[in-house]
Amino acid sequence: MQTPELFWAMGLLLPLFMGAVLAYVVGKIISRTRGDRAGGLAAAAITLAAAAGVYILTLVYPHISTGGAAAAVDWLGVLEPDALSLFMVKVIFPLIILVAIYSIDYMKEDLGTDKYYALLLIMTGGMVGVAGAGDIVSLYVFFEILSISSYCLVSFRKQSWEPIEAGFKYVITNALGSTLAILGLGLLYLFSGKLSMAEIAAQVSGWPDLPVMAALVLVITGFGVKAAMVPLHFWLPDAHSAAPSGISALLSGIVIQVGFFAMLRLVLTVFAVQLQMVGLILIVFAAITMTYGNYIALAQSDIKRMLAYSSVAQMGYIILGFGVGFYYQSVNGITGGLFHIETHAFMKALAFLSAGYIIERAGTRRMAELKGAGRAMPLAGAAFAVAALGLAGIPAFSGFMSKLMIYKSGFQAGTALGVVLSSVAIANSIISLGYYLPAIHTLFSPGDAAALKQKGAASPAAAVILPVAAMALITLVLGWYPELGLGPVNPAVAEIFKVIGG
Amino acid sequence: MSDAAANWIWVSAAIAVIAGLGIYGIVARRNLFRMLMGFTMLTKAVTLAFVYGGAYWMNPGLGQSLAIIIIVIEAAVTAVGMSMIVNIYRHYGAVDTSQIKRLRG
Repeated sequence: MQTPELFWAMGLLLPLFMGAVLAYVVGKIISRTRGDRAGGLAAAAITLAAAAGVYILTLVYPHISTGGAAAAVDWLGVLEPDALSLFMVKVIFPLIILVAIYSIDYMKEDLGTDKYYALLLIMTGGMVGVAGAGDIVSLYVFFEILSISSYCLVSFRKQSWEPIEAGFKYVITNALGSTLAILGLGLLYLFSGKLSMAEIAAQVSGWPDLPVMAALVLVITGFGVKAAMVPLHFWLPDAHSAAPSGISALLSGIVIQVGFFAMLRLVLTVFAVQLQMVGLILIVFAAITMTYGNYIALAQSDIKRMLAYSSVAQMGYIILGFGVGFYYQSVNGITGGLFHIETHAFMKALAFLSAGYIIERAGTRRMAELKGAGRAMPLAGAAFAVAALGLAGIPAFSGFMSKLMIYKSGFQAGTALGVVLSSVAIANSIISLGYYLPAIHTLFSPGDAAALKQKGAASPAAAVILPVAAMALITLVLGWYPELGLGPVNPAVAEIFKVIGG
Repeated sequence: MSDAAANWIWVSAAIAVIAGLGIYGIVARRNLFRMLMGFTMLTKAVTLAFVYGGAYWMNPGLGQSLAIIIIVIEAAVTAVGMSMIVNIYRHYGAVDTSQIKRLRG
């Protein structure tokens, strides 16, 4: 466990993938002998043990991520974890653990949950791999591991038509996206003969413009599909609303951000010379993405589709933070972008988990039919209200703190463009209140609460209360003490500024 | 300079043409199987780029092993996509996008 690469491979990735195999095999054996429910529970227990164990390992050995000592083993730069990777891992694991706990109760009616938990662990392994990848092929391979497992998870409930149709749409668009990205990476290999991102970056400045530009366009388009930047977002609302709610929480909370992270990783190494231009491209996409996402979310009558479009809008904020950060070399922009990844992960997951609980009990996703659901299920309703207010960026919730940094970065740039961008972002925040507040109002207005109460059990299970309460707590605490959340963010920002050099 | 290096313009053109056909297949076709075939075709362009890159830089083993990795991933994605097509056929009795559009984009 001396070098970061070895730690990342043996300490993080190996337990996750072995845990996936183990969860599936043990789950299958137990479900043969003791029934499906017991098998699912065993798989869940193994998943939780693997994820929690690996998470504790990263917390105990944080220094490995920054140790740059010469590797004893020649890893060809396949994994090169740094502070940025460690930041992603610190967001990924709490989310996975909480969602796995939630799924114990949420997925109890489904068959074959042993596969569900195995896929969940494989997806985690893919995300951790993307976070630590150091060369273009390992980036692609881990990204595809993540993508393939999420395709399967989106259409996990294959008995009904919606997950299947949304799933195919998800497969074909995202396969196109990642193939375009690897085509761009293939061009880079063709012109440099190197695979490690650092080595390509060392060569790239002496090239003619055309291949670099072509590769840049392909990479931004390809990972733009994954990150749901607006002209390329059309798969997201379908896939995120058709998936089981726990998976929606993960997809919206972290998977699209990992897509953006992969783009970021390439931009920071290979395309570091074109950083200003990339910043400008990101700014333009971000402004379009957040405005479009918010306007379409206003028109939604389905609560999960509304949350999915709000993910598109929130993605716009994250991209805006990085765009302004690259273009103006603004510390606040980068910090805000990374911090918004962190806060948004928990807020959006909270929104999807509480909404998922309400939907499951009420048996409908239509907003109009959910009238009074918050009164029948006060805990879930309150959790949803916390998440919605946080997502809208109301002060005292974590979303406000991260958005504030992004607004600040625009104003601090001191140019007309920066002021316009911050104003657009603030205006968007106000627009987004136009669908969050009616949603909260609908949930708590008098309605068929009695009928809902009959359908649902009296009180939610502990496996639902624990993750929802933990996420609500994180959202509230980070709104008052943002320093707590900035702990993992700041080293990552320092890492990025080594490249930007501002 | 190897023989491979002399032919770069033809290989680049071939990559562009195959990739273009693949993208056309995904975007313009309405049959789900043809969309999936478009995806596999696009992946072939990528494989060609990696194999040619390996040959160009006098490291053919590396390029070919990368090509195999990409083919394996492509096969996995295609398998998942086909399993979804099977399920779509069970629900709708059709594999044409014009007949199965219930979701609004």
